Amino acid sequence: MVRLILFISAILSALFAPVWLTAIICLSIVIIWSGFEAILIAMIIDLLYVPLSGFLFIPMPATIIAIILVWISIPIRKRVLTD
Amino acid sequence: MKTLLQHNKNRKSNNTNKWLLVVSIIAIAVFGLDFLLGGSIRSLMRNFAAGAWGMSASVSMSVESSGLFNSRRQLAGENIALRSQIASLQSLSFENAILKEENESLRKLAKVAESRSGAQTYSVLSHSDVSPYGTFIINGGSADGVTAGSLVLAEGGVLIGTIESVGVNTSLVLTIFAPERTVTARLGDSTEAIVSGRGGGNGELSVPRDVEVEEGDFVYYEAGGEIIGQVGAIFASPANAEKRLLIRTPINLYGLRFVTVAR
Repeated sequence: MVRLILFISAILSALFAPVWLTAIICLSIVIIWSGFEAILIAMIIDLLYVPLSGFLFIPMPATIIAIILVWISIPIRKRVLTD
Repeated sequence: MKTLLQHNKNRKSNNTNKWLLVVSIIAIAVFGLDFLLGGSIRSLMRNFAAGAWGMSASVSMSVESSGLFNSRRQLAGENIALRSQIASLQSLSFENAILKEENESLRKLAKVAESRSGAQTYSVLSHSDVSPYGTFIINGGSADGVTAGSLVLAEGGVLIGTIESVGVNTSLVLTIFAPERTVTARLGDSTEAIVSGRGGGNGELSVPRDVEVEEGDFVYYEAGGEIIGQVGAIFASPANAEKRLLIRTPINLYGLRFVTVAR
């Protein structure tokens, strides 16, 4: 339930709130659940706001960062939770 | 031998990883498809978001005009503040009239193109601070005659960005001071420099140390002569041959409601 609320909040903040708020919510989703929702939110941000030519020639920078962070967080969370 | 709890944990973990892999592949595939289709998917996304922005704007206007959240004391305070604002605006208006007359004659002398035939005004749908890339979306697209590369101006003819990509009903504007964007600008009459965007309406440029410049000087877009910003701070050191200028757009990008797109 909390996860769903955070996901909806992140979508709304991607549309209406400053980018740092969206980033905080996505990071929370990544840290707590390694959730794929962070990738979806990053995808929404990139589809809405990245120029077609990309940012620094990267077509989907936030999505790539989200994918990397989510995958990195899985072993880290596993280690932290089992320690 | 694994316990039932460990077995369930492993299964849950494998399911999570599977979901993550699927979503990662879908995300990459969506962008690949969008690139192949020339931006159709993002155009669709922006149209969808435009509906949400429009709905939110009408809801917030209704709430504000209803006065639902205004207390009596708050209204009285607002009244006093507005009266003093009117008084100061009236004096500013008088000064403005004098400056306009002066500007008119200077423009004729400099032969700067004054009229922008075919320019249209559009409303700003998303705030510039929502995007991490220095972009915002307006409610004009190819159906309204908007073309990529057009200049986007705010009040006073200040250049704030250019049209980066055009959808049917919406367009993406890349601000002049978007992060890592560089534009050629002019300081004063003849000093050319490259301005590097830092985001948030801020930019930076370097000029030779002996160039005379003061805080508050205007910086112009080299190609068209429009104002793009004002010098906010100057950093000079005797050891350097150049001095660093921080410039800022005079427009409050967060409060921007309407822009003009010049053809």
